[in-house]
Amino acid sequence: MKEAKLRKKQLQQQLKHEDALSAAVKIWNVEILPNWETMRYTKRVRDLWWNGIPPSVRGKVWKLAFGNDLNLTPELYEICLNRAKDRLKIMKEAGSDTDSISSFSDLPSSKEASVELIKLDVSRTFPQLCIFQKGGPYHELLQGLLGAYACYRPDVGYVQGMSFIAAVLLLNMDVDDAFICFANLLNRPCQIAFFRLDESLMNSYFETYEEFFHENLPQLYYHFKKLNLNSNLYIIDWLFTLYAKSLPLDVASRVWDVFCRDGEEFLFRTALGILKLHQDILLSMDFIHLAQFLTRLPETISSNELFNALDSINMIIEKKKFSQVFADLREQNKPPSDSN
Amino acid sequence: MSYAYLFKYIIIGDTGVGKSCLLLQFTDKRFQPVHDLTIGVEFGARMITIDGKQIKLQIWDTAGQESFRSITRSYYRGAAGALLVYDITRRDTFNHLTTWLEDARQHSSSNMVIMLIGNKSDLEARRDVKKEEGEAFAREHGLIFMETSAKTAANVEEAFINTAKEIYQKIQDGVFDINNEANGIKIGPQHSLTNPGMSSSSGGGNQSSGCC
Ligand SMILES: Nc1nc2c(ncn2[C@@H]2O[C@H](COP(=O)(O)OP(=O)(O)OP(=O)(O)O)[C@@H](O)[C@H]2O)c(=O)[nH]1
Ligand SMILES: [Mg+2]
Repeated sequence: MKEAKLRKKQLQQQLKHEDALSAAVKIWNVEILPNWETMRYTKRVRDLWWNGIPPSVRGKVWKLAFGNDLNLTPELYEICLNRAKDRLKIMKEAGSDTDSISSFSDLPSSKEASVELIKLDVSRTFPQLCIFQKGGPYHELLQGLLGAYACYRPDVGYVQGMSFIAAVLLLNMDVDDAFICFANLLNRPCQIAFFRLDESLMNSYFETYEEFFHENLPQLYYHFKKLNLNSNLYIIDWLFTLYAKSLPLDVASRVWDVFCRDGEEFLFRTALGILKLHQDILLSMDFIHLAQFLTRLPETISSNELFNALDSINMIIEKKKFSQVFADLREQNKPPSDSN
Repeated sequence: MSYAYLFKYIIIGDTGVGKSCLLLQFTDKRFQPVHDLTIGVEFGARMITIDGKQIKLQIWDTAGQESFRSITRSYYRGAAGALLVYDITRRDTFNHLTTWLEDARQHSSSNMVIMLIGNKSDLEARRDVKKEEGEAFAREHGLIFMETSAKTAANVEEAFINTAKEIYQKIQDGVFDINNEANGIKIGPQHSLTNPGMSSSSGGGNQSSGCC
């Protein structure tokens, strides 16, 4: 009897959830998306946004929110894609001996080397989903998108982490849009700093993060300090994939939802949310357990518990927002004007 | 668990040579055909026994992509051992060894023990680098050498343990200053030589075989 009651209750809850979801889909499709520019900043939309974008409209919202400042077109994508394909063909004809072309310097890998690297990595992207691996439905698409980007931005090329970001986009929109979103997303200040491996900028981001870490979770902050656990040991993996590799996909998608609402500061807020959620066990761990835990997060994290933790993370220190703290740090760390 | 020493290891080498798979085989005794690529660094740990002493290995498995070099360089600090890995089916990964070695020598303690590993020995049909070439490179640069397979587990155990033996020997010979943590060696909590008797606060008797 009791069980039947429980089942009924569960069923009711599920129905309620589904009702809420289809209502949300309707609101996004009918009210918000057609009036995007006027509605995106309203409190109602922002609240709805925080609660997660329904998967069926997610791609549309991301596309609008990430925008297209670079004015990219599907035609440009075609051109870059063909160039990438030519390159791959040439390499095949020349045999697999890429060594003569790829110079092993400190510069980002040459484009040719990128193509090899991309091939290697596409199969190692979300291996458990089995759709990006050779023979899988998204294998060619992902490889093409990354190759096209490396042709479009040879100064950035292909950097590991990108394959996860492109994969998440491909799961939510068609390939032209995914390319346009990808290129615009990577052109954001924080992302371009990381994917160009700009050490000075990256360090400023880490330092800014440390300040908010100290502000929000002082006990844990000192615990990490004592153990010499540098935040870059775990946060690099989180930022280079925008959490796509470290959090369950549905949770990562919700992080992306708010990332495209709030910008880069939300990425750092998410890191603090993850730490806060696990604060008690983290405080009891030694260096190696912490390092292992943070570079391989539990697969059971749910978006509700994470967003509850995130809710109470304070992103203002002495009236300064993340961007302001970051700008101040940059100012302080400025090298004396005679560079070198 | 208590241990006599803790050694920090770092695994380096080109992307895709199988560093993470080697680590997983060593710590979990399994092979994952498609492992996630590594961004930044991943970690593993295992206890081994040498000369009757428990030794804890703390292993840093670094990202191989060239772009990440500037980041991974800082991870050499305090490493007692390094596994330098190439893929016997990809000659370019062998050709890059010199650069890796220079990097390692430059950013680590001069006593760091380096083990050269030619991985994927199960793929004999696709072999691109002869075993003799690996041996010659190792001889020339004073490294220990082994071919392994993370897939079949061949020589994996040996690669990690022989490196530790070498480090242990260096400690015995007094080459390593074990009180200087920059050498990548820590003395276990119960074995502290500098202040014996400090660790008996728990009041329980002998807890040497207790588990954490
Ligand atoms: N046949 C065979 N395949 C292997 C072996 N070791 C690794 N692999 C394969 O090689 C691929 C790359 O292995 P990883 O362990 O991810 O390579 P990695 O060196 O950690 O690469 P990065 O993390 O990018 O630096 C995996 O997909 C494995 O399937 C091996 O011993 N034999
Ligand atoms: Mg790896």
